[in-house]
Amino acid sequence: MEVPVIFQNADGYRMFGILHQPDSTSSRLGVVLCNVSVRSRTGIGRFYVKMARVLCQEGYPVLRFDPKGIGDSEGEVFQEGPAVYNWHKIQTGCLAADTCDAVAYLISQTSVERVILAGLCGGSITALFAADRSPHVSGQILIAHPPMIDIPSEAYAEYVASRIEPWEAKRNTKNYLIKLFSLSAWRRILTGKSNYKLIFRTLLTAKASNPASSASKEGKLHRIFNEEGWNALKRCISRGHSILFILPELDRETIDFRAELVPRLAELKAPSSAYDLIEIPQANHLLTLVEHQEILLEKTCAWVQNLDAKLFARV
Amino acid sequence: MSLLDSPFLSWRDDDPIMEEAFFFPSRGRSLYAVWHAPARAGEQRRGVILCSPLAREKFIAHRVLVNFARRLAEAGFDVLRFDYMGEGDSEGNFEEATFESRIMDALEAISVLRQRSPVDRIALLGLRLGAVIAAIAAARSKPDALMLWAPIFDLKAYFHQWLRTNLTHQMLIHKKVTNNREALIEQLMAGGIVSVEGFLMSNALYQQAIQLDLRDEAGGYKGPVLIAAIGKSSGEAQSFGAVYPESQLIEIEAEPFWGESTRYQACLPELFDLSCCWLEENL
Repeated sequence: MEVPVIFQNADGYRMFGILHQPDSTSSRLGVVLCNVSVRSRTGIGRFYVKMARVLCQEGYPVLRFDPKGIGDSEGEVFQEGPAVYNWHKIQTGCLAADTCDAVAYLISQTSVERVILAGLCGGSITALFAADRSPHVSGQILIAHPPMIDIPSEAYAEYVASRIEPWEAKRNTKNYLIKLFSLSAWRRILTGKSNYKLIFRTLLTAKASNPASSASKEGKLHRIFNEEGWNALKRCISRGHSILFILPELDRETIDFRAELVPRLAELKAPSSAYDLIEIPQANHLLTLVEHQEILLEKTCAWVQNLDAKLFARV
Repeated sequence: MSLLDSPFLSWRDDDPIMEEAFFFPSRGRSLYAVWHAPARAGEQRRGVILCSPLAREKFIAHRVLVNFARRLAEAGFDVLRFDYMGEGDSEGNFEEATFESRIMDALEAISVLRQRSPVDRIALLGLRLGAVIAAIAAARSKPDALMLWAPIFDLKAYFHQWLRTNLTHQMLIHKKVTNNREALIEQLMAGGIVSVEGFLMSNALYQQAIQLDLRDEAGGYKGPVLIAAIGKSSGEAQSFGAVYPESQLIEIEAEPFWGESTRYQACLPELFDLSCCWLEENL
């Protein structure tokens, strides 16, 4: 059963959501999904709807909701203009308080006693910060988790607006090589009709050894390691949370994750049960291909069932 | 999924609007809707149905439509936003829905608003492909006004552009295009489905859309029409104007708020003001 719900956050703003309630036996473990960036609770490609329905079918109550300023909910949090400023707000946990309220709401309305927070990209950061604050959370599913934090500035906003992906650089370079022998292409260059910015960016990206990562020259200027996020993660692990990291193979965040977070996690010498890493081959950041979404659903469902058994000794 | 109607939601005493979220049945499926109503309704009640775009455009434009619905409710209009079957929070999967099913959903939404509120006059507002749906629904239901925001006129070109996103993913994953656009179209025509931006495009949606003759399907509506050309959509908007010779065209200088952008937009004051004024005068 899916029910539209409205509840108030701690500041009195009304939050809109959908509660997925299993028709038969309901688990003591529930899931709250954390929104991707500033977008609504359905998730990209309706992925959160699919995820909630699959988990609900397995007996887990799931709450999808819009925090303040997002989707159907009340209030304004985010500023008009370059998105990098809003990314920064999310990366510093601006949606965590509302998420804690959502956890409390799920517990008050269902049989749920312990909660898993799950989110993709910005949603995974929100999940992490909220898990650190809420006493009811036992696990997190962190998908395409960004370990870095963006330093918002006009220069960064301009960089993001003109940034091109490595595969685009490769394709453009190939086209440029073909056009080297084209008279009309040279005429466009010499008469100022070419997109010089694009050419420059292409060559710069193609030249960089690892252009997608924050280790690139430009990346270093605008992104730093999210120390607060790391501290939250350490506290969650020390409190015995179980964490599932989902890493899409072709994601710049995965490159950063391997470079920045994996060595720190190894140094932490956490018990093997503390976290799992699952890579989804050939998937992009937002898992926009349906086949990748299906793999993710299968893996997360199995992981939730394992955690449920661990927490409540359910067979 | 079971249908569960939520109780009416009373707003705070000093709030100018009330809002209610609920599911309503449409052809055996539960569709999600939000009704935005003025807290103090006037003697004459006017209603507006919002027809959202499809797939990712809907996802990105969502907050703008929510904000406009609230703006209209504050101005005294009853507004119904709803999700088509297979979209947003509604029942079903995207690939099950067709163009026709979405038109039927829009027509059902008109009945739902009439049940919720004693509206005397009704307008349909659609954005992008939602504008096409609103236009066809208007020809069938004859509402009192029709407003089209950045409507798509060349549906074939639109769908082919949409298919290009699949090619982008092929480039990312395989470093080359293994199935070009023609191959994808062939796949669709043979009854297959194609993954685009996390959604599965079906043969039924594609075929119905590209075969639509808008002059024929939408031209029967003779009431007042406002067409808003937003950003670079003016060519399409002007073409759409040919369907309605008496329509009014406004041009709004703004970035397309339904597409992926590195800038965040949740309110478009000029578009909101002009649209609201036009509705005040024509509904």
